[in-house]
Amino acid sequence: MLSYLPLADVIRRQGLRLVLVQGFPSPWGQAAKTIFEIKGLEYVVAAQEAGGTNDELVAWAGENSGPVVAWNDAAPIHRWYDILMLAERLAPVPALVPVNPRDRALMMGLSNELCGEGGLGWNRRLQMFALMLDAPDAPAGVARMGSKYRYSQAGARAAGARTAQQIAALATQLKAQHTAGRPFFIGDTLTALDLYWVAFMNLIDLLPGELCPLPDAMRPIFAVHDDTIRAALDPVLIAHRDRVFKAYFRNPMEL
Amino acid sequence: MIEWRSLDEVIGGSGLRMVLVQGIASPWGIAAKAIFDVKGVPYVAAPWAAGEVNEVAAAWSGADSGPVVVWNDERPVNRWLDILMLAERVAPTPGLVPADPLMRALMIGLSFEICGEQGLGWHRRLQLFAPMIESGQAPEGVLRMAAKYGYSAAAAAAAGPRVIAQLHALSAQLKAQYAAGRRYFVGDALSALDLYFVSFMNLISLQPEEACPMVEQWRAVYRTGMDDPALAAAVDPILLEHRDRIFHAHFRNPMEF
Repeated sequence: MLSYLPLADVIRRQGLRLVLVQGFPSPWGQAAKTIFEIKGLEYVVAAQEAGGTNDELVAWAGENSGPVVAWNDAAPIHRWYDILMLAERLAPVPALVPVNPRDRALMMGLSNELCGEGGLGWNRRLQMFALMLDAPDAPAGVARMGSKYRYSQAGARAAGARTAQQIAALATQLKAQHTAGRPFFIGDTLTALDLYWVAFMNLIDLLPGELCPLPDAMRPIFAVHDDTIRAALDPVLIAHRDRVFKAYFRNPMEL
Repeated sequence: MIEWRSLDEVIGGSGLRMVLVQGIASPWGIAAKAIFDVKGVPYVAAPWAAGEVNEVAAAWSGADSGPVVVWNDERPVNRWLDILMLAERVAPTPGLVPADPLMRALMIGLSFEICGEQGLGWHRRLQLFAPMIESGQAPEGVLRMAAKYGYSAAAAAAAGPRVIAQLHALSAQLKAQYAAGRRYFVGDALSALDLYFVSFMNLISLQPEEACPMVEQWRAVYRTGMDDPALAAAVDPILLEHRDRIFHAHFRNPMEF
């Protein structure tokens, strides 16, 4: 179980500290904590409030989003690739980044298709915002996030096709791997990409309540209303999510 | 010519502004400039002093190194991928990021191999630091940068084989492309990867002075380790051909810094 500490305590401490979006299966945060858990690294956690101003966090980390990760006296980091590189440095084994440069490049590039600007998470977030921002009286927190992530109706409209293309690319990669007898996205072993996929697939096909205990009132936010996305979700991707989740994630997910 | 301005003018200005390492062919900055040059986006720049704290620029941007790029009143960005995404947004045409997701993933991933943590630039930087650090007489600025980038004698020793493996991956990709009649790293058109490659190749095979007019003191630093036979053997002729062709077609000649 996650035990959220006051942010001031987390800031004061040494070692590995995470600031996670509380009460919400933010895929960036779920992936970060799972990476550290697989590597056996202990951490303490403080909460970021989704849509809140999080003034204390901003003053410390320069960023109003989760996850934020800090190690000892180093400056806090928040980008998915910085967090992954930190994890690899702190605990090189088990490695979640391939040694072979081409495999590594493909792993990082496909991870960017999930986690990066313009990635699947980015695009699905725009679609989620659209439901709220295009309605009158959007909550201030959502408006704040919409502004931060440059929400526009045009961007939200384009997000569906982009997401579908990204899902199709991942299915193509996974099928090629399966054909070669390899059960992971890249190479012969688990990489961070497999973990990112599990975490981000909640934005496409939310895990049931017993595995991802998000309150019922919030689950509709994750619903996909776009037929092109649903059509792109190949069963091979669902089976992969289920297998990697059961083998490597805390069950149920901790929010 | 770069329009050098004061930092105050850059901070208080509008449009596209940069803070660039001055006087050194810093590949991250050279690539950022080339990206905006190819897209036809004009900019002005203030200098970032290599190895110095650059207190005002750092406090304003939150960055601890150049280049820093800022567009209008947005937050300054400093990471190579953020700069590329900004460029694509400010001037979508010509696109320097492929539209196809698998191709884009390969392009971004290979760019990580060049520009990112543990990339070719990262490793060569460790190698350049090594003689100065190990001499025990490194200038304060080099010590500061070495600490920032995790220098250790072991990391510098490991850097050589990693650079060689990365060069092999890049030449294999380029050979596959050339064999298919494609003259760029990815797809049928110039991408940011081609520009990163040209910029960072100065750390592997320094361009002649007329193309890269860096003072001899810095040229000597860049040449550190270039005489390693293993590194030289990893520089496939196709890499040099590609560097020269892309440089002549798409970069300011001579490079400006």
